Amino acid sequence: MLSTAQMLEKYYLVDKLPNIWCAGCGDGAIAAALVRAVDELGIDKNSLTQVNGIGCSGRVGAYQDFDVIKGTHGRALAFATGIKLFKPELTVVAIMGDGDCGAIGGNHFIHAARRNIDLTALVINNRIYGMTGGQSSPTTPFGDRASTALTGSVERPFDLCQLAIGAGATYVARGTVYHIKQLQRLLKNAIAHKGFSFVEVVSQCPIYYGRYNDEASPAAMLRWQKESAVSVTAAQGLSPEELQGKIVIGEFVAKDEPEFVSEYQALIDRYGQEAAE
Amino acid sequence: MPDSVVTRKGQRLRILLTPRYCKGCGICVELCPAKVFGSEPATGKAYLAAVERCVDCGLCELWCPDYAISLEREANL
Repeated sequence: MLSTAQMLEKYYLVDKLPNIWCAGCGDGAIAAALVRAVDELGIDKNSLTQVNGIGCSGRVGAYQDFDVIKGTHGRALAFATGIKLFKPELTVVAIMGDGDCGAIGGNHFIHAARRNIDLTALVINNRIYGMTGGQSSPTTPFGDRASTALTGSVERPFDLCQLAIGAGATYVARGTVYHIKQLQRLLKNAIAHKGFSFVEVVSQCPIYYGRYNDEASPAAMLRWQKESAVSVTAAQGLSPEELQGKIVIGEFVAKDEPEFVSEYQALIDRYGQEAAE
Repeated sequence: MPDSVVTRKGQRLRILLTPRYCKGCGICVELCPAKVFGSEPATGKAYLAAVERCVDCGLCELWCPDYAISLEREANL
C-alpha cells in the first residue's frame, strides 16, 4: 500500500495543501482511501475521470491529479453518465454528499441506479449540509439537531443504501471512516464492479453535525462510528428495534445485470451494421 | 521536520510528520492504540511523544484527514 508521502507525490496537487476542510473532517481520509483503492487496482490516473458535486465533498477533486469535472448541485451523476457514454473506456467516479445525492440529485441518483450504468457513486454522508452551515439533510436522523432543526429533526431520514438497492443498483456497500481499511476494500470492489456501484461512507462533521449534537470531538465521533457499526451478516439476525441507531456496514448487493453502456453499444453495432448494408 | 525511526515486525519504520498540514484535530492523539502522539499545548498540533510504543498498525496515516502523517517503511528509508 502507498504511504501518505508516496500517495501525495503520485496523485496529489501538493501545492494546494493543506486542504480546506475543517479540522477532523472525514473528507480527507475518504479521498485518500479512494486514491489507495485506485492505486491497488492498477488504474492509470489518466484513465480515471472524477465528477464532483457541490458541497464539502465536492472539494476532493481539487487536490487530486485526476481529470476532474465539477458539476452543478446534484448533477454529478448526470455529468458522469454523459462522460461514460461518450468514453466508455474511462473509469468514472462521482463523488457527492448526502444532500447532493439524496435531495438535490435524488432523481439522477435513482435513475442512474436503475439504468445500471458502469459508474461508481461515492457518497460521503455527514448527515447535514456542512458547507452552508449545518442545515438538516435527507439523512439527518430523526430527533438529531441541525441548524434548521434546533430542537431535533421531525423528519424520517433516507437510508441511502436501501434507496440504491430499491432503485436497482448492482453493487451497494456502506463503510465508515473508522473502518478505513474495509472502506478501501469496498471502494476497490465498487470500482472493479461492472455496473452501477454505490458506496455510502458514514463520515464525521465535527463542526456542524457534531457541535449541534453535543459531540464536537472528531475522535469521539470516530469512536461512535466504531460502537454503532454492525456488519451486514450480523444485522440479519437483529430485529428492527435492535438495529435502531446502528450503522450497518459491508456489502449489501453485488450482482451482474445488463449494463447500460454495453447494451447501448450493442444497439449501435446492430443498427450501424444494418445502415451500412 | 520531526521524524523518528523504530523497528517493528522486523523492519524499520519512520513516522514522518508534516506540521504544516496538521490542523490539530486530535484523531491520531486520541485513537492511536499505542499512544504514540501528543498534542502541542500552544497549537494543538500532533508531535511524536513516544515513538518507541508504535505497534505499526498503520491506522494513523490512513485516518489523518490532512495527510500530515506518513509511515515510511524499510524499502523507502
